[in-house]
Amino acid sequence: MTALQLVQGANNVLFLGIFVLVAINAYRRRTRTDVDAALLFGSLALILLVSPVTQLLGIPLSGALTLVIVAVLMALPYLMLRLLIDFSDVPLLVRAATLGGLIATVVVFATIGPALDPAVTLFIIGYFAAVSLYAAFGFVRLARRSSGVTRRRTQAVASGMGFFGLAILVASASTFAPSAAGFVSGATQVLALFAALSWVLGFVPPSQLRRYWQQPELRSFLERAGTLPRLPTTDAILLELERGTGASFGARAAIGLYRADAGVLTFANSYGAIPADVPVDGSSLAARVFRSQRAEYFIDAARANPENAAAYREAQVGPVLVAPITAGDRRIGVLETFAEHQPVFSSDDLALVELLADQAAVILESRALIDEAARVQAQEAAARLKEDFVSAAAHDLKTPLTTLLGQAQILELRAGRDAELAPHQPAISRIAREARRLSALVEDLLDASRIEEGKLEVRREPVDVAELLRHVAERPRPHKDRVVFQANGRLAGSFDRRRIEQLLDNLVENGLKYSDGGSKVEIRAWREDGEIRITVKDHGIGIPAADQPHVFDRFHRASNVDARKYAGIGLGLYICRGIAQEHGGRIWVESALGQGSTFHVALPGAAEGKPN
Amino acid sequence: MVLSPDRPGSPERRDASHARTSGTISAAHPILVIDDDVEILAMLRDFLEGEGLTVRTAGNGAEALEMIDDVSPALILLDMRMPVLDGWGFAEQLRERRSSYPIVVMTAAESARRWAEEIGATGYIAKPFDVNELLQLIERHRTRDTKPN
Repeated sequence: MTALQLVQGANNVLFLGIFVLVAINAYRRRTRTDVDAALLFGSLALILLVSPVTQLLGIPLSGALTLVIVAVLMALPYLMLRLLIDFSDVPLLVRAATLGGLIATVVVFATIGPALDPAVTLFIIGYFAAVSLYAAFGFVRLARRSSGVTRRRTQAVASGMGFFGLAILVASASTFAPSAAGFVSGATQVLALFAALSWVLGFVPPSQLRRYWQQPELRSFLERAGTLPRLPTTDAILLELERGTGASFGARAAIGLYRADAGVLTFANSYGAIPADVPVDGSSLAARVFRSQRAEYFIDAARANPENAAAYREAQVGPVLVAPITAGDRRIGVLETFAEHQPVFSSDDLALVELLADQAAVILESRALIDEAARVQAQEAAARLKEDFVSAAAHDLKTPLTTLLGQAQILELRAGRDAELAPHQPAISRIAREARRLSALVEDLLDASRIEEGKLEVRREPVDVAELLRHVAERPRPHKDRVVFQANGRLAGSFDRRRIEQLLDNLVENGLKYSDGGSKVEIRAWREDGEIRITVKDHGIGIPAADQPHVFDRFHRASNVDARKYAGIGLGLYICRGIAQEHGGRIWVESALGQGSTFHVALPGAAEGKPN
Repeated sequence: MVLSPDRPGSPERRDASHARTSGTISAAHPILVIDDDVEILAMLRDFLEGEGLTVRTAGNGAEALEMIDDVSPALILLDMRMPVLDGWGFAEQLRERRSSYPIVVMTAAESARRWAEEIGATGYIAKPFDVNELLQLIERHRTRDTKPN
C-alpha cells in the first residue's frame, strides 16, 4: 500500500465516519442544519465509496449511475451553501446562481455526456471552486462574529470548505496537465484529508476538544465569578453573569430571577426577546424549564413557544438554551442563552449552560447572604438609633421630672412637719413651670413621630408673621436680651399660628444654645418673590460643611456638638423642617464652622396688599 | 473609691426620712451644687437650705472652678452634661489642681454609675431622685469626709 493509498483510505474512513455521526445527529435532532450536514456528507461518502464498492463487487458503471454520481458531485457546492444559509443570511442572488449552476451542469452532463468541451469543463470547475470558497468565506465571517467554542467550530468548518474547494481546483488541473496526474492526485488527497479533519473538528468535535476550546472562556468566567458577589447591586451582578455566559457561548444571555410573591421570573436585561416579567405557570421557555428544573435546548424559540414568536423574531432569537439556577432546593431563577442562528448550540452545550447556571446560583446565593447580612446590620443600626433616641429622650424627660419630683417631695415633707405652714409660692410656680416644660418635651416627641408618619396637622388661619416674630423675640426666656428683631410692616399669610411659632421659637432657642453669652441672635423677616422670608442668624459654633445636609434629619446632631455639653435629642430642626414643608415652605441653613449659622425659612405668603 | 449605689428598694432608702433627725449635718462647710438647669439649682438650694445646710450653686464646671477654693465645699453635687465645662472636665481640672473634694455625681443618664467611676466620684444618684435619699447620701459622704474612719 502506498502512502497515497493510505491517505485515500484515511479520507474514505474519515468522510464515512463524519457522515455516520452527522446522520445519527440528524436522526436524533432532526434540525435543518443536521439534515443539511447529513446530506452534504452523505453525498461525499457516496462519491468516495462508489468506485471502490463497484470495483469490489465487479459491477460496471452504467451511464445512468455515472450521471447520478456526477449529479451528486455537482450538488456538493450547493449543499455547502445550504449549510451556510442555515448559519447566516445569504443573498438571494447567490442562492439562485448556485442553484442555476447546479441545474446547468447536470443538464450539460446529461445531454453531452462525460466527454466535455474544455471551456465547459473550465466553467464547471470555476463554479465548483467559487461556491466552495464563497461558503468558506461566509464561515470565516461567521467565526469573526462569534466567540468561544462556536468560534472555533465555525473556523474549522470554514477551513474544511476552503480545503475542499482547493482540492477540487487541484484535481481539475489533471484535465489540463495529464502528465502531472500522479502529483495532482496526491495533492488532492492531502487537501481532502485536511478538509475531512477540519470538518471532523467543526461538525463532530470530540468532547475533550470541545472542553479544551471552552476552557479560556470558562476560566475567565470563573475568575470573574469570585469578585461578582461584591458588586454594588444585584443588577450589576446579573449583567456581568449575562456577559460572561454570553462570551462563553458566543451568544447573548439573560437571567430571570424568581419572585415568589408575584409568581414571576423577572428579567432585568432581556434584549427585548423576553418580557421583563414571565409568569412561572405560563408557556414561556423559561417558565417550562423553571417548572421542570431540567436544562433544555430549544432549536427554534419561535416554534417552541408560538405565543411569543413575534418577539423572538424581532429580537432575532433562534435557538435557545435554558438552564435552571438552583441552589440546593432553593429555586433562584433561570439562565437563558440565545442566538440568532442555528447551530451555534448543539445539545452538548447543555452541560456547559448547566455548569454556568450552577455558578450563577452560587454567586447569587452569596449575594443574597451579603444582602441579608447588610439588612441585619441596618436593622441593628436602626435599633441602636432607636435605643439612643429613647435613652436621649429619657434623659431630657428626666431633667424636669427631677425638679417636679423633688419640689413636690419637699412640699410634702414640710407639710408633714408643720401642717399650718403656708406652701412656698416659688416652689409651686416651679412645679407648674417644670410640668409645662415636660409637657412641651412630650409634644416634641409626639410631633417628631407625627412628622415621621406624615400626620402633622396644620390648622390654617390668617397670621401676620412679623407680629408673630416680634412675639417670639420678646418672649421671656434666659438670654432674652441677646435676641434682636427687625421686620418691616405686615407679613401676612395663611398658616398654623402655633406651628409657625413653634418653628421660630425653636430656631431662636437653637441660636441662643449654640452661641456664647455675649453674641446676638438676629431675626429678620421680609417679603421676596411672593414668599415670606425669615432668617435667624447666630454667631456661635457653626455647623461643619459635612453635617449641613443632615442637620434637618431626625436624631442628627452635628459632629462638633458635644453631646455632653449641649443637651438635646436632635429633634428640633427635624420638627422645624416638618412644619415648613407642611406649609408648602422651605428651610435651609448657611453656616461656617466657628462663625455662626443662618437659618433661612421661606413660606408661601399671601399676595401683597391682599387682606388676610 | 467607694460607690454608694443607693438603688431604689435598698434598705437605706426606707429610713431615709429620718436623715434630718440624725443631726450629723451641720452648716460648717457648704454643699456645692453644679448643674446647668436653673430650676434644679433653685429647687436644691431651697431644699438643702431648708434642711439647715449652706448651699452654693454653679451653672457649669468652669463657674464652679472659679469659686471652689473660696467655697471649700464639704461635698460637691455634680451634674455631668453641662455647657462650657462638663462634669468630666471639671473633675480633671480638680485633679490637676490636686484639690480633693468628695463628689456625688447627679445625672439623668443611665450610665450614672459608670460615669461616677470614670471621674473617681465617691457616689452617684440618678435623676429624678428622692430628696430624702439625696439628703441621706449627702450626710453619708460628708460624714465620711469630715470623720474618716
